[in-house]
Amino acid sequence: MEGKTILLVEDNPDHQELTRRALAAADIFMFTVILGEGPEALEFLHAEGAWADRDGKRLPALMLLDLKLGASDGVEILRRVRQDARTKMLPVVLLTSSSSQADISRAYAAGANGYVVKPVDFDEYSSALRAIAAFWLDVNVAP
Amino acid sequence: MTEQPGTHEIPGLVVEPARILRAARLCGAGALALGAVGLLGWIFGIPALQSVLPGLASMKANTAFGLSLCGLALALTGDPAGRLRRPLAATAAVLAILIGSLTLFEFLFALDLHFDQAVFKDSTGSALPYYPRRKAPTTAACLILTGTGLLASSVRSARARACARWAGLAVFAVAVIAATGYVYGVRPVGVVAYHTTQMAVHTAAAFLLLSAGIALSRPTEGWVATVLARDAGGSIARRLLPAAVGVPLVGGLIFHSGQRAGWYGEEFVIAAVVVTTVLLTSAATCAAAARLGRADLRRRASEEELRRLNFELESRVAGRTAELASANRELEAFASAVSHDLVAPLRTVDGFAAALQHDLGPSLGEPATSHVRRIRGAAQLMGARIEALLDLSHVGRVEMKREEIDLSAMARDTGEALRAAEPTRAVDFRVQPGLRASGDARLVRALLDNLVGNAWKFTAKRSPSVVEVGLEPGGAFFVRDNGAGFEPARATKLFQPFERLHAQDEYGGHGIGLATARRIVERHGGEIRAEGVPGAGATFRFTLGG
Repeated sequence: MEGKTILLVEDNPDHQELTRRALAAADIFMFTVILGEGPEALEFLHAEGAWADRDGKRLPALMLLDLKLGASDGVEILRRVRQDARTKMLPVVLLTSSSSQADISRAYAAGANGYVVKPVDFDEYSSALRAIAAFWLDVNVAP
Repeated sequence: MTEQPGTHEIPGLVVEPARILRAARLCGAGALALGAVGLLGWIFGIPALQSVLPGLASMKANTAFGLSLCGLALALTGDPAGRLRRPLAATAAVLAILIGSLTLFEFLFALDLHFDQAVFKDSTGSALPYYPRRKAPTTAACLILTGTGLLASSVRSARARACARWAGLAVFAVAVIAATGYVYGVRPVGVVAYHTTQMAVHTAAAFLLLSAGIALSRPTEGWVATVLARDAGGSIARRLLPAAVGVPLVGGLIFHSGQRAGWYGEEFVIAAVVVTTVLLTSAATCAAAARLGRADLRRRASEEELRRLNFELESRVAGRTAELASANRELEAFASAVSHDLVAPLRTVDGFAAALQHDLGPSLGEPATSHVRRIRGAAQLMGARIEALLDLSHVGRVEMKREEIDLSAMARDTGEALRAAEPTRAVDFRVQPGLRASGDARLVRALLDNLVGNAWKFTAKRSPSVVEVGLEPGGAFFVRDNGAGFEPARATKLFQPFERLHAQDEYGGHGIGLATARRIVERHGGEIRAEGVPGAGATFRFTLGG
């Protein structure tokens, strides 16, 4: 997993911290970029604005996207990721609290590669992250 | 009245059929009485009973007998009691036909079989020269027709009963001619008078009664049904018929008596009768038409009202449907908000409690370690409850798609999942093979997960644990276990949300699973029941409608 990056987009600072800990508990010591806002994530991916000095050709191996971000809608961010030729093949897994059927359909319709409901139990959450990382970073062959 | 299958439908009669039948039987009794009067006249030799007034034609003895027979046959119709009734009535009718036929035969072949005088000698002096002691051929024909009509009206064939009605009508026509003859004081003249005796007054009356009785004995068929029907046609008939029949008859009688008094000539009678008839029947027609027109107007108004109400109902239904859809969308949004906004803090609680455990570990010490464990337990339980509540609400809203389900395979899948979740438990899980059901696959799957999951949970303290899924002979599926069971008195309360079978820490669970199970079953139009014995297990039976 050398050189691979995970991009986590999550607006709740508590959950940012918890996800970081859950990744660590799952022995995933990978470079993780954590961003709180959707537009900022887009700037990061396109190497624009605050991230203009980033190498735009280097995309993260996986984007973990929350469905409900403070000001923006996760699905909307996903749609914009898919619209851009540079990022349209980026693996994106939605990591969310909502198990509502409408949200699930909306996410897949917008081009999600996966939809994971975050368990309340921290240990279960950690195992879920381990499974996600194992598949998307190890098993899966990226574009 | 014997209801015949296949008789045409009528919208009910203005008079109860039973009362019409009673009237038919009364007609029969009247005819029987008139016939008996004639017979008595011959037995005791009383001319007044034979011919009512001196000089008028007499009711011959065999006519009297024939009329009595017909009257008897009619009086016996429609009486539900008595098994002898029908053969007796038929015999009487056949005898009447026989008497009429013999007389007609004599007339046709100019024979005298002497049966007219067989019992009573007719000694009355008659002015008529030809066969004075024999009844009129019209009377003979009427006897045959009446007897035939009586026989045919009790037959199952609709065509035969139609013939009976026509026979009755023919008798009516002949009797009316004879009766009006008497009322108008007309004597047969010329060839007719030379060849026949006249029909006696009371014979004509008896035939009128008999013909009316034949028609009335089948009140739900023919013109009786048409006239007495509770519809526009019947209403018109009831208004026009009396005028059509009564005006010419009564008018004729009135103007004719004036002519006899010498006030005017015959031409005036004809003109007067025609004009009266035209005027009065026209008036009756106009009145009936106006009435029908008003009824039609009312009917059209109520049809319009009905259409308006229908339209209103439809638009109201459409409105309610839209409201319901919008309420559903709101609920969906609410569920989504709940799952995010209520569950997210719980995850924080559990996550940081886990962080405490992880970071401090053994140095946390007791009782702090236990407190942290309890915090996490409570957070996780609340998370599970919220999830179960969302499931319950989802099950109520989700669109159903009924399909054929292999219930046995589905139950085995559920069992495998439960086994995988608790590999240390040994449960004897028996699924009856070949169970098939019709239902929404996802909902039924959730139902089985709930019921089998419950059984799994409540057999934890049994050895061996037995969980069975099968179909009862009555058609209900069942999930049975040998677990903790429950008090029978609580069987219905179980299906309410948050109703728990056992103390929280004994078995765990959120208390919403059975409410969800019931909602799934109800959405399929089925039923679910629980049966339990404390300490001996529980059985849940359910059907899936459709």
